[in-house]
Amino acid sequence: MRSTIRSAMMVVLLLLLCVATTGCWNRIELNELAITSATGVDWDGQNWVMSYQVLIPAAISSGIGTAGGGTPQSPVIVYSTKGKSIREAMMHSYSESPRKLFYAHNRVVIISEEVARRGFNELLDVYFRNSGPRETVSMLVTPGTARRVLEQFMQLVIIPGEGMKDIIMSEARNASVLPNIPVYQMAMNLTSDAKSSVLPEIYISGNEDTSTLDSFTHTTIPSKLKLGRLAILHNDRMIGWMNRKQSLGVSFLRDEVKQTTITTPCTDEQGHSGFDTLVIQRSSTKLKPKLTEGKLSYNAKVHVSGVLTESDCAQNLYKPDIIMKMESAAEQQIQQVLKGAWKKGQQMGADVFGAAEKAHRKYPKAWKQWSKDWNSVFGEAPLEVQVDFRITRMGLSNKSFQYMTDKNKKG
Amino acid sequence: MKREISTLQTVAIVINAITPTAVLSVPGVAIGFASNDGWIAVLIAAAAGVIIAIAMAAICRRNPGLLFLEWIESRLGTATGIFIGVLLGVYYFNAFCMIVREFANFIEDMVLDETPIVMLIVVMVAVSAFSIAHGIEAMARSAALVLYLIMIIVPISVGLNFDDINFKELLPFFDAGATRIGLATIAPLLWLSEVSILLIVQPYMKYPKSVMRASVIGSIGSSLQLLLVTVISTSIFGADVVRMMSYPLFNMVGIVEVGEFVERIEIFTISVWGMTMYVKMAVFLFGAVHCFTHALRLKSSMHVLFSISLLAVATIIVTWPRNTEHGQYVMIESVPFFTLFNLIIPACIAIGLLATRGRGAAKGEQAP
Repeated sequence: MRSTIRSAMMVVLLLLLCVATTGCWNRIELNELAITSATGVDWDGQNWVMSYQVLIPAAISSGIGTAGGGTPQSPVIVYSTKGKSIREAMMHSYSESPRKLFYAHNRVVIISEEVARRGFNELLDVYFRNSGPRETVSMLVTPGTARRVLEQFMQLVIIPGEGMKDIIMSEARNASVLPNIPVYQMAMNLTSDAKSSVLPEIYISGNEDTSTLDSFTHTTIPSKLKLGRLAILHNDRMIGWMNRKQSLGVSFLRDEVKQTTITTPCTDEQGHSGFDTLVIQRSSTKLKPKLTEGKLSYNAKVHVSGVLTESDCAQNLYKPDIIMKMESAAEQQIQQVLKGAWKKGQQMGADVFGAAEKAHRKYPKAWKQWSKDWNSVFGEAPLEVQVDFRITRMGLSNKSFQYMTDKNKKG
Repeated sequence: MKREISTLQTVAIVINAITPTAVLSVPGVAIGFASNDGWIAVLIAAAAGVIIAIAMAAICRRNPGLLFLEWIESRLGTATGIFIGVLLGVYYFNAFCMIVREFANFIEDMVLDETPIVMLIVVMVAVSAFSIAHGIEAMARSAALVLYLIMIIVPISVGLNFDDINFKELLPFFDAGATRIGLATIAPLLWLSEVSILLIVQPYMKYPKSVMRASVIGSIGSSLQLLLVTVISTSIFGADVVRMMSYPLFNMVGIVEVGEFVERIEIFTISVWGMTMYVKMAVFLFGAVHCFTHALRLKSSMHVLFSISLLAVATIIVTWPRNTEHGQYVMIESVPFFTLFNLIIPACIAIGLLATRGRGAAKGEQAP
């Protein structure tokens, strides 16, 4: 009996302890948090300007917002704070927000071009030093202010921060022109042998802002957030842009192409010119350094397979030589893309292709010399490209529609 | 003294006495010295660790079934036995303080940054003391249970990280040079030398003859975990980024994202790792209590446990007012400390035992 009472008292004591130790001093209620979905980083010449896109849970949970009905209520609110350091700016948010900023659900960090050109080591330090912000957050750069990007609503998604992350993930998976660069990847690139990295551009396409819910009363919205060019960084500073074609070349050379579409010119027997469109479904690039008589050069072997999804020329796709011609045209196209990107990288003095790591790994002794002035070694290294393109399927039609109509005309 | 620990539980005690703090500190130190060759240093240390494990087991196997300090006294004399007992007691006490502080710092950095560290330390010491109060068997059973959890969580973590792993980050091999690789070997080797806990634990084993198996398997198991964390963290982040990380193991798991439904899973790894830390703290607190109780011939080990726990709380709070001081102590100042207690003293004991072999043979000891 006595032991039963003792056991019961122990159980009660343990339960009481559970009540008293719910998170100790770090206890915080959900309604005390301001969940941040996107962060913007600007620089006003003297101070960091941090902008936060904060969720309004009531607006999201009630289905009101950009996608729902009822009284329009914005699902997010955007505000900014200033400070000499990033954390100081964040601290000032306590002076204007009733809730504590919570970064664990932050999906993207947008940095302005000005910040990118100034350098943003401080931002990377904040991410690695504090447990709140996560290193998987995607980084994007914008030509204007980051705050303006955060103020835009997006079509189809309620939370713009989430939407921006989805766009870059979808782009990297389906078009492979721009890569998704999480914070840890950026840190890896900038501390790598080449000390160079890339960042996708996000910009507002259109003259007006889509920052009010009124815009969603029409079938078209005045402006959209769009991904554009590729920002090139060297030694933690942005040094320029690459266009989308060059950016695709970078993706090929970094072996990051998952799926993309290329359009190659074609000419049929009647001399009519058009385009074939091929979707690349598999791609593998092996970039290898080669040392010949003390001169470093690179060889890129690209193996690609894809599907024909559109043909504008009168071609009989039963004929293997026609297919080989199409493959050869695609190979040339990819070769040009790769060489164009390589040349641009050399002109900018930024090895964003991982060439330095490959040289270091293959020629560790020579690397000791090259590493002293890698940019000039890289700048003089020629690239040889070999592409092997295989069209695995013609789609559901073996002859182009143009071929059929031409034949009917003749017939 | 009851012989109540199975061989598997002994393996679990050895692994949990080494890896919890080792996976936290060793990858950073090894990669800091040897860059992408850090894993080679860990591999070299693993080979040396097996040799140390064999040597420790060989010493243990000569024990005719007495508690470690009783055996030492019977062979080397009472005064030497008391001296060694107090020395080892001091070692286990200091190591316990260091481990608790390391765990408290981690919890403060990662999870409970607003909770006063004193509170964390008190809770950790209290839980360790509670575990010890139930005897070595309770601790051994917890260690085995935690080992099973590790065997589940480690393959899952590696599997989820698989897409991010790029083994080319380990190339070129031997780029750091022999000196830097040699320096990088010291930290993992010293951690692996904590297999010396077997000197205290072996008399409690049900099958003392299997101490060699437990020692070698424990050492290899610990080395594998260390190697895995070093190789994978380098392969995912590259050596330069790992160098600036305080806890690469958790950064590694923290980047896992499978679609939008499996992410932020490091809490599972932290939870299991936290359990291993509690086992480690309990093992070292047990060592301290055991050594002081027997060396000083104290009658009640419970009173010793209570006093040592109180002293430990005070020591942990006062010794390292700043986290950096503790980091400096773990990485640099503890090197001679570990070397003395895990390598030099066991070597001296082995020499003493060899020198007094005649006395042991008279008492019917087993051959090594």
